[in-house]
Amino acid sequence: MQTVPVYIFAGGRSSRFGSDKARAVLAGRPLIVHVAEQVLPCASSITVVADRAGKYDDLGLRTIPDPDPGKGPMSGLQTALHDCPAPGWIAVVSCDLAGLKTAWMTALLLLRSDGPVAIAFKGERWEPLLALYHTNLRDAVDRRIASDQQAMHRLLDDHNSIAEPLPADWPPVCQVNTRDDLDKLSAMSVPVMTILLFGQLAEKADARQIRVNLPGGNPTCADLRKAIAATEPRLAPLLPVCRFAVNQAFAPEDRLLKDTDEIALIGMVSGG
Amino acid sequence: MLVEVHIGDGPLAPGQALVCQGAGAIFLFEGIVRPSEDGKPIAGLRYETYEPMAQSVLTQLSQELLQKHELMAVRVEHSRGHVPVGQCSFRLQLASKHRKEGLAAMDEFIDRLKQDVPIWKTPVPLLGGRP
Repeated sequence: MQTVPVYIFAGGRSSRFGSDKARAVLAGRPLIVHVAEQVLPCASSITVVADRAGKYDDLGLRTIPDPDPGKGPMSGLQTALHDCPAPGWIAVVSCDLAGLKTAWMTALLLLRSDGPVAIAFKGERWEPLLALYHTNLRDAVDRRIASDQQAMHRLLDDHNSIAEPLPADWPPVCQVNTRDDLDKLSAMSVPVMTILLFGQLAEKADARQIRVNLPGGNPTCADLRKAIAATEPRLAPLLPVCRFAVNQAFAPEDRLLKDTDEIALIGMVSGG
Repeated sequence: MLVEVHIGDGPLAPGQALVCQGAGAIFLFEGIVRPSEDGKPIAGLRYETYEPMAQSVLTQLSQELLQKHELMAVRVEHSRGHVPVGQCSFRLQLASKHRKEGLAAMDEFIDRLKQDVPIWKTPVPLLGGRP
């Protein structure tokens, strides 16, 4: 898979959110970091476009200024297309698209061809901030900024754009506009737990450890037991006699789990 | 020291007998690797331990039984890794004032070991033997 320069747009005013959305914390990390992690496999470089230079440098993200952030994403796109060092495709993604998955970006990259100048997801409406744009659009974008035409969907309608249907796993809430969106995403967020296996369990699973997605909310050992049965059916018949050790001590079924806990599944032991 | 727990690599070397002043009884149990497992000849057993949990559960168990049975001292040793047939993989020694509580404690300790201590054994097949 060829990579492209990725530009994360963080120039919005976050007016509905009330504070800098890019730094709002989801599952322990700023939203913009979630987005950057997902695009990383597709990125030859990652650059943030924000209202001032260096704004997110502390997060390890090179940040360039949008000279006119009040003009919205069209100005961000102009900034990105002019920053891009070589002719070709760039990827654009909004810093608040917290539900983003690498696979979606990969799907867009696979659609690249000669001719089109933009590739974006389109459900009921275009998703212009999860899209690829070609540097051939530079002059058109310059003209729109000069004539105060800022609507991204018009840009996509008026040029040779590929509309890709929304991915099947696009969640009900994908983007954070309000505090309520962030709460909903937190509830949906799926921490991944690593479970250590020993003895017969390690033999059955053919692994010393397995990784399991946990439901959001306040997961307990009982939730984890169900998740393991679903993830690794080979362990399911042995699970009824297994206990959990959390941080090296046996734990009851109602024990609340944190994603930093060391968790071991202890089957029938056989020392002596 | 009232409680001593040691998990070490390979078979247990012959140890020093437990000495406890004032004890009326000293008990020694040694677990020896049998030459076959489920009817099949084996070369030995490989012990896998989850540490330090195994160490801490053995210590807690020793302390619990020390109080319950009014023991005077407990020393536990267990192997990790390969232990050949005929060699010792587990040694429990304890000192008590009287025979009865000491015997009861030996029995209870070994039962609990086989229930709660995160140690697992896997038979190592004899080379040339049937799989």
